[in-house]
Amino acid sequence: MMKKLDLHIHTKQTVSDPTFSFSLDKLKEYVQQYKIDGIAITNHNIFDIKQFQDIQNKLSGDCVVLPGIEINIGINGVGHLICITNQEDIEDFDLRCKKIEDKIQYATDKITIDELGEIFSDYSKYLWIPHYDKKPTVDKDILDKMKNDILCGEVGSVKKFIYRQKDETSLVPVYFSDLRPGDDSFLPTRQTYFDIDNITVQSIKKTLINRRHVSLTEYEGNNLFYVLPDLPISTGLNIIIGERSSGKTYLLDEIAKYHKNVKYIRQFELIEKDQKKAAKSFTDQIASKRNSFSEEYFELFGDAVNTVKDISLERDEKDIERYLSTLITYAKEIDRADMFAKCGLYNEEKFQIRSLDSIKELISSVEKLLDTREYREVIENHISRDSLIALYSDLIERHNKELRRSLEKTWVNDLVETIKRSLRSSTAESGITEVDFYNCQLNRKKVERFNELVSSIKKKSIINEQKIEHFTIRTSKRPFESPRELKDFSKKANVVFSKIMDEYTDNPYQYLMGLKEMDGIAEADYYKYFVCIDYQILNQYNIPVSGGERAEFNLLQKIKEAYLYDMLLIDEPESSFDNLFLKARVNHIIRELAKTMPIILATHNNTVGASIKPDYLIYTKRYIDGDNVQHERYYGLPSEKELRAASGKIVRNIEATLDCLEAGESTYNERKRDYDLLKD
Amino acid sequence: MTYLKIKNGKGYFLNSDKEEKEIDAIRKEDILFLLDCATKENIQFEMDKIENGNIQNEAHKIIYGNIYNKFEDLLTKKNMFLDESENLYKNALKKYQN
Repeated sequence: MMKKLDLHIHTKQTVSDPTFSFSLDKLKEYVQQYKIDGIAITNHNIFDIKQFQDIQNKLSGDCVVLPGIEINIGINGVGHLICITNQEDIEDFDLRCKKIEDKIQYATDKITIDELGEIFSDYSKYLWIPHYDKKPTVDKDILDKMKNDILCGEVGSVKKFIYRQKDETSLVPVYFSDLRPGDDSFLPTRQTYFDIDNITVQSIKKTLINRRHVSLTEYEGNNLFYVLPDLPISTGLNIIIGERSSGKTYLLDEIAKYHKNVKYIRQFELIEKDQKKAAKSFTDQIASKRNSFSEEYFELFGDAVNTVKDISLERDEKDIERYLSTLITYAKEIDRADMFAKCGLYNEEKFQIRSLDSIKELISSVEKLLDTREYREVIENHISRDSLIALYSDLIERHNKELRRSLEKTWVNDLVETIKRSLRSSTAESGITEVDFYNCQLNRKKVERFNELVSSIKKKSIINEQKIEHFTIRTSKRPFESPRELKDFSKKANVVFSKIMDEYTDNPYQYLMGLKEMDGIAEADYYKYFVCIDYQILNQYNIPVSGGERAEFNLLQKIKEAYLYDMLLIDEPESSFDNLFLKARVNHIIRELAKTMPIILATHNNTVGASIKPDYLIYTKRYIDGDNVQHERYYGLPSEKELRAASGKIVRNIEATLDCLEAGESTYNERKRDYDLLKD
Repeated sequence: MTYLKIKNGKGYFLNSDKEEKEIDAIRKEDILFLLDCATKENIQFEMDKIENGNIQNEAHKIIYGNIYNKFEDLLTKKNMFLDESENLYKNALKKYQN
């Protein structure tokens, strides 16, 4: 016999709970309204025997109440583990739980597996339910250590229940409310059915041996669950049919309110009201989704811009100029110079200290060759390990020598500088300023290479194409065409690009210097002003998409994004899309997705309704009797002759289907006859 | 080719028009030209050494000597310079050329 259980309920606010004030009446309402056969009281790290007995008394005759506790346990982080026992064990259980209570003062406190073992010496007496596919999960090591006693795991959604139920290697999933009943609490439909006669720890454990004895409704095995308290639906694909105004959208809205993490594609949501605006926002959306790709693509260029932006060729040239003029002046005045200025060290230049980066890089490359396990054989086919080791040690020796030399040079530079300072303070003669030829020349080379780099990056080309169904997202690059385009790109009001447009075309380095002088352009964004990125969505003929196709693309994207959610609701897609598209492109994606999560699709269109081959049918019907309007929801398998409502009412399936999808039986017959005639 | 020359007791340099000019007339543009020549892989950059009082003009001696020393230092690092400039934005160029 199927029993409906909710073995995870909180009745006391602890350090691990959000604020709530427990209402025993609400709990009673919950078990009565949802016809729950058994619950467990599982507060965080505490068992209150007195409160438990009060609850038991109050619910006596409504349902069985089992004593339990939810324990913080973990190795690194904190996981939650529920422990449930039988009613007769309550005194002993209370004593053990006190030990847990003593150890947990804060939400981040936890006990170890060894401590758990000391407190509950005989695990087999209890029912253990770890947070399994639900946060915060219990560490795998703990699950392994308790594997003989942990027979099921709690999951956080129907979708996860289906996934775990199908996977024979995972724990048997159970789905509970984790409810904190307060006066205003919303009562969820999160309970699990167990095929048991008595609600005891032993019988529950016995039934957990066969995962098919655990389900989300009392019938149809694991394929149904309660989406609303009085409406069971399939864990796969459900279709809501019904005439206009029969309450299809109302039903979807209600479901959306009842469940968290639901993706809801509303009717007409994807229809474009203003084509131009829609096209722009569509491109912007694609651009922002593809932003990470562009950032990655331009990373190397961004690095180059970063090094070049700090180079000033103008400053370098001024340094050379000053050097020459002071040199020439000094040379011509030498005869008149005093004894201090004639000292050799007076104009002594500093040693240039070079960076050791390139040799360090070489050493690390050789290290990589030596360390790799995967490619060792390939390397050793060409270079012996001994040669590599010899090379490595030579490079290190050379590095050390150069390092020594550069330290010596630094020391000498400091000394020379001190002497120069004291000589200069004693003379009226001007000295020769210093200039680093190597650096000046390297800077010029950097600018030359940078200009080359910019000219290749500006070349028009397609840099990426990504296929999504029959659409292609094409990312391409090209030069900016006008100062206006650059200004639009900057999205800034006070910037003028016309002054540096010539440099943009002829001298990228000068253009970069121009960008630096403009207010309002962030340094980190300079690289974005060199090349324009275009995003285009093309249809299967490689032509940019039309408004209708854009909506189609959006629909497919939204459906695809739905895998991140626990449930997908779609309201009358046929009101925004043509049948051919729905049949050819959408139906199969929905069917695929429905293998992993519940989908509910409202429709009155036969292309969607019938050809998609749903797992379950919900038929909404409105009854008007004078001023009195009533809505009824019938449900059942598509193959069943009759659909039934929670009230006990019944309708013929064929009638409902033809009424909604084919405009009635007579129209259907007529149309069928017409098509048959056409065929003949 | 000899870019810094000594003759008749004076120092000379070669400018970008390949004319020999007296060293005290050297300007910033000439230094930039000489730097280009000194760091090109296929150019043999030669200079006359100051020795045995081959420059008598005191001012020339100082100017020539100073510039000579700087270029001599640069030439000892020519390979390093070539390596370094060869590697500049190498990965970026490779990536965006394709």
